[in-house]
Amino acid sequence: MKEIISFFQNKILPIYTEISVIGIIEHTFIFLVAFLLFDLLSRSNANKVKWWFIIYVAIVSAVAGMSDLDQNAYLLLLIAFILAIIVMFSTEIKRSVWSTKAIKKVSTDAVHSVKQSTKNANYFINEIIKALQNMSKNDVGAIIVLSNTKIPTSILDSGVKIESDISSALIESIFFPKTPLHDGAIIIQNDKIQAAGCFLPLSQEADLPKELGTRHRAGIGVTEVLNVTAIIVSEETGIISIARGGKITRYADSEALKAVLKEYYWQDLIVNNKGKGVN
Amino acid sequence: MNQNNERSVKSRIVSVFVNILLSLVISAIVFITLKLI
Repeated sequence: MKEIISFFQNKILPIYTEISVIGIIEHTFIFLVAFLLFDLLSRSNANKVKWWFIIYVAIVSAVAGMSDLDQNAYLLLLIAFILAIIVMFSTEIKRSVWSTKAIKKVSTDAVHSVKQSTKNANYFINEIIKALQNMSKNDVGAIIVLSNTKIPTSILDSGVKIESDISSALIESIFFPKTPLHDGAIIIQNDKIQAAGCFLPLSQEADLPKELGTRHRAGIGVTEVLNVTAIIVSEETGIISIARGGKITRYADSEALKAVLKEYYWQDLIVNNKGKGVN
Repeated sequence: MNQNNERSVKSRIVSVFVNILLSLVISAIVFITLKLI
């Protein structure tokens, strides 16, 4: 114990008590590199890697302290690990940078000016469910993104801006095979279909069942990077699936769809009514 | 919607705070090691 205390007093304390300006700059630089790396990993949902990095630094530092490792070799070991992390998580890092920089609100008017009522919400829910069930019955592939958050401009710009009222006929028309917009996703925000034919980021998850195609991967992918819900209708089987938070629930019946849509519309109703002073 | 935003802002602040603490620890370990070796 005494040895540890004397080690701290004699070796470590002087490093900080006698620190030079260059030393402060060095320390700040290392701090900034570490912070940027941790922040990127947090935003990429790779929190586990943060702890691997800490353990790795602790082990390498301990080995360097006990062996004849010089400064260059020590720094090289750290840089090699950082590069390995960047290569391993390049997709996630790209996504996290992309999803925070290019974000904008779909339409602030749509959020604030709409006077929603329970009746309206029920109407939207019924129209969406009707469209989904009709498309499922006819094996028409579809993907609907329910968003009450910001959508990256790159997703919106990949499709066609619609800003139209929700109706089952319109949704079914958009996804009717061989029409120009049927291959992309529609983005719904509150009572409006904001855009159609939008291309979504694909999930890179390797464990997804083989029967899930690109449409399902897109549905899962968008929920991995944004706080949205995606409803997917399979073109091959007509099965309706719900994707949230990067997880997919297959075989969604009308009750499951109603629950998801109610949760989506009810949240907005509560917030909007509170904002307007309505009880 | 606002509740969700509030929650996500809170979790972001906590995550940034934790990252700052971890970065301080890591930078101290690396700095001390560089000075000792």
